[in-house]
Amino acid sequence: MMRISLLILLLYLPHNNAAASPSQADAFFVNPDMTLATLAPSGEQIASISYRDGYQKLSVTHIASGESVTLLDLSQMSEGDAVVSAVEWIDDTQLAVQYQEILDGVDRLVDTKLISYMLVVQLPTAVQVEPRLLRLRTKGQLVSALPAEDNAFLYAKSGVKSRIYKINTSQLSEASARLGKLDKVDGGQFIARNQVASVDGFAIRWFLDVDGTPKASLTVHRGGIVKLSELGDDGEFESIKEWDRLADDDEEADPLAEMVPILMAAEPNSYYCFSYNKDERNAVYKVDFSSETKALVYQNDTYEIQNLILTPDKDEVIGVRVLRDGGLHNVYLGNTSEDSQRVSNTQTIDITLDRSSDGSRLLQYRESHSQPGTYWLTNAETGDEQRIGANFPGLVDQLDSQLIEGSVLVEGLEIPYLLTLPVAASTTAVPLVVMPHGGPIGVFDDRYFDAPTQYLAANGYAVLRVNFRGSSGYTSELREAGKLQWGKLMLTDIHTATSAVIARDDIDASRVCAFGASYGGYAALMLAIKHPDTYRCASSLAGVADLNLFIETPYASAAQRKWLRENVGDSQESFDELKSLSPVYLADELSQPVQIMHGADDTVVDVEHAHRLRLMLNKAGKTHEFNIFEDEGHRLDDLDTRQRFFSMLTEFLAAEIGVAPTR
Amino acid sequence: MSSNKYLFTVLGVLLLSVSAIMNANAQPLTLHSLDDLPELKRSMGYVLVGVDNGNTDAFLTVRRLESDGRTPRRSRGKLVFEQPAYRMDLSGREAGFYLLAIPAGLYQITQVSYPYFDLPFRLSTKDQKEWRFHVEEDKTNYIGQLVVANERSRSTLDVNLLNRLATQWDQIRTDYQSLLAEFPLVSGAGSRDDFLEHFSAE
Repeated sequence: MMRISLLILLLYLPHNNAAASPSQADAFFVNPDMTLATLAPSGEQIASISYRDGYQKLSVTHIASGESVTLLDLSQMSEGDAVVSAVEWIDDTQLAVQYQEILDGVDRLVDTKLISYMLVVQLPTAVQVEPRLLRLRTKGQLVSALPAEDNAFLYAKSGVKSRIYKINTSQLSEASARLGKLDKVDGGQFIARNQVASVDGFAIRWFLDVDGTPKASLTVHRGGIVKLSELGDDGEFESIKEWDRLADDDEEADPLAEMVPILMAAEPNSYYCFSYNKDERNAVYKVDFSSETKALVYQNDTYEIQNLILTPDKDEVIGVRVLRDGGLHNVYLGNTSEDSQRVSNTQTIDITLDRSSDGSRLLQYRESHSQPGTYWLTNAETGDEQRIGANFPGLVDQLDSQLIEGSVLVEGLEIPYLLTLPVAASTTAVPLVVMPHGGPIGVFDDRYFDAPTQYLAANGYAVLRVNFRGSSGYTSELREAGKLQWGKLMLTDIHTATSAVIARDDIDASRVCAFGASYGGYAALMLAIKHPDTYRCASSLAGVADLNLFIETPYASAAQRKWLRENVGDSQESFDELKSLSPVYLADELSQPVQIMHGADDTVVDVEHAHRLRLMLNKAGKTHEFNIFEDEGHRLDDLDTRQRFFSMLTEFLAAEIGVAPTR
Repeated sequence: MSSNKYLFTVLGVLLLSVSAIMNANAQPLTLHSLDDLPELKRSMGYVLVGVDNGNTDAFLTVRRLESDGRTPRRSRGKLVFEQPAYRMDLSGREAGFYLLAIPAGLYQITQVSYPYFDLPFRLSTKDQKEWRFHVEEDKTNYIGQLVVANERSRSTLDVNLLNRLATQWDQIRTDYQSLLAEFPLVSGAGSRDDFLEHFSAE
């Protein structure tokens, strides 16, 4: 009897631990479980990457049996920063894996050395019970895994002349093998017989069609000239665009001066591009090089984009891989629309990530505002579906907030907003958290899963997110209208939307608090200062408190300074006006309780902002809560700190505007 | 060796020589603690600077600018420097506050040097506003927190002069109470900063 009880207890405990209560911060602010999945050509196996204790693990799961095998465990391979940046099936038994490891510098040198090489992982068989690791020793890059062809892939070598070779995996040696003097590196396969394409110049990127046929290349030449060339009918590459990278970029003279092609789009002469001169790579454009026009596809203010995620036909962008929380994570964009400046008008992301070579099985990804990302295997013939993984398994089917979209007119401009209602709103008026986004120009809040919003909703709060002027994702008119409006019409937009929302029966207008990070923190403070009758409290994380101090930040580059002057204000010409819009100098007008949080090592908004506000609030005798997070920057990268912060936020909200029943 | 490489090498040697001569001729700017603070002579003020040199041997080259208050004078678009150049040596200095006694005026930190074996180590800050500070006569001029990161890369230094007046306020008020009573604290930031004025106002 004792044994049976123990067994029941053991069975119960892991399940109970895994399913954290969905109102706790540690359920929302964690590394995602599954971050990448790809279907074998036969459709019978799935390779996926998940995070375990901060390290990536590459596994393959046999769909019919459900058996899973770990192929690579990065915690066993590296003590430092190692990531698998790409995984592609070569055939049903082999995977091409791009492995990257950052080696620390010596002594006080932080010069890190990036080691990047390709591994071929051969799956275990009845004979070979452990996975077999082969390593390509020739420096270069994988350009196509040729999934339609067994044992072969395309690999590019760059030099004065760059070439693509077809490489056979059977001639590669084990990753752990030491080659003798007589051994041929990579089986001596980099020879003319195996050459598939060549181009003059150092190729930094090749563009292939879905069959693996090279179609275009991006090459660097002597004197800093970069060329985008397409393969002509005569079999030669012809340049369609050139850049002089040593010359100063002049956007007025060449609107495409900063564009770097990353992916060939379906339309002729069109490419998805990153912006070259951005200090942080956080925007994707679709560029037509024949008409010299570009359209913004995606931008965020928080994470650096590392790569694009493509449709199975490899011609459309469906997502981006971003560097977040020290790892690579996927962000899917939802359905694209005709006008790429506009956000998708669907409330659910439902996209096909991959399909088997005969098209009978599909790997799909779904996400909605209250459902974090899930991966599904679908039988295209029968329609049968099977969930095979999730970003946050503990939150799947646990959240049931409601998303309402609306808009208000402010000085003739339509300002869209997203209102998330907790379950309790169906029976009682609930407190509201107004949550302006950071950035603020060129970013926007979308309809899909947002952890802070869902965390607050799970704790009984309605959440209002306003895409105020300056936000991207809607129209260029909305985005452009944000210039020099930090403390002005941006705030009017947010407050007008708040006024519309608190008129609803399901919102308790007497219990409204503003919370935001970065610009959002600034906006939260200013809303409480300007409209104390509406906002009963304000919480600012890494918020700007002194606009002149922010504009004069020593951390900014020359390009960033120019941007700050043009978009926030010029502290030489408009010092007094900027001062009059700064919470530090308005502290005596702040009559509501305030929570100030800041990372001590923030290099975007220096911690000095928080201390200035603290001193001025102390001087004015105003109530406030003050917390500095040591060793943290602008984004609270450490997940424990982020969990602690959000717990403190909900404690503050509960004290100031109460809570609604969560169920 | 190609002619271009030769030219760069010669230019490099010449520039290094000029730089070495300038540094050799630079007058030392001595960092003082409160205990060994010299008296102010006429038209001088104290500079209060927080230093965190990351245990490096970093030193700064500092020049006074011809100016009208906090506005530097320019000739053909370039800043006009006065002689001599000063050298502020941070090597061996523990993290904390230091004081300088120097003539009033507007100053530019023109170069940050961080020797480390044979790596390039000079960061030019010649016309960068955030590396400017202002000294008012008979005042204690807080110019910021000078942070030199111990860790560096082969081609870049992580060095900043941060306006951390409020962040360091509690310590400044406690440790320099007697000095500030005689020589009141003012902001020595290179550009206008009204915070202290507002905070100190009754």
